[in-house]
Amino acid sequence: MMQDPIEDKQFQDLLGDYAAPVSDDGFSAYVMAQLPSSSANLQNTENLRRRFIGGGAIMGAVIAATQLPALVKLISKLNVPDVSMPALASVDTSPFLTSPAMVVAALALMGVIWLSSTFIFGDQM
Amino acid sequence: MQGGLGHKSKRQFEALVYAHQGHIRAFLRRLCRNDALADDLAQETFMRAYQKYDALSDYGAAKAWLFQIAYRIFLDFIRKEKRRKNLDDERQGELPETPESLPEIKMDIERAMNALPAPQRAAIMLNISHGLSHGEVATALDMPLGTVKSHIARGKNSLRAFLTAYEKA
Repeated sequence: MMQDPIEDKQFQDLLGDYAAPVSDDGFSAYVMAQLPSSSANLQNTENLRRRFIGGGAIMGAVIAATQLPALVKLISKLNVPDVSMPALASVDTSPFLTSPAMVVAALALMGVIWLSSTFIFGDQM
Repeated sequence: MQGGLGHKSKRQFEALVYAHQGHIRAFLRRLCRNDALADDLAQETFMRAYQKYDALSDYGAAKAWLFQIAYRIFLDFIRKEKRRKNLDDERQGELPETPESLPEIKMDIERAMNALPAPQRAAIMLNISHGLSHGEVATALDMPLGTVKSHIARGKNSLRAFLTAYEKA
């Protein structure tokens, strides 16, 4: 669509007053004063998140604790059928039970725990 | 983004508010035809802009971006208002914000512009008065480029007719 610059200028002049910017008169300062402080905002969000996670964990623990006697009862009732297992090639597990292997396994486990806690709690740990 | 900015960004945002508040308020005043309401919507515009400020990648596009937020807030307000009571139609043609002391031509321009539907008025103001390109107007008003061009063409036709009538008179 072609635009006629002369006519556009004419329209611009015509609307000059109509769309003239409004003088500030303290508006900007008022807006800036109304802005939420970033640290307070972040703090509120963090507190809310911690409360949700803490509340969820406590609720989960309580539910799990109430179910514990039923679980124990269920396990005690279990009768494992005597099934004859086919002979498997014997696997020597002793290398995995050496001290260095146990240390590596413990470190790996701690790494997993640290990673998952970082995901859940961020840098608030 | 949690609705807060770093110190430096807050300074930049403050500069943005000072630079554009006049245009945004003028734009909203012409859309709302109520200065106090327009200023409330303008304040809401800057609040929302503050929350989304990190999403603004091109500072040069800030003006169009602010107009976009302002227009969305205006549309939200109109929708809520229409839902609550159908005042919008009653307000048509009232022109409560046009003081009688204005020179005749200015009042006539106001009448001519106010007679346009809000999207057409917004497109004309953004394009002619605020110097936004057709593409920028399309972004700001969330409209297809073709629709914007058509709004602007129709708006110009109305203004052209007004000018011709005024010259004859």
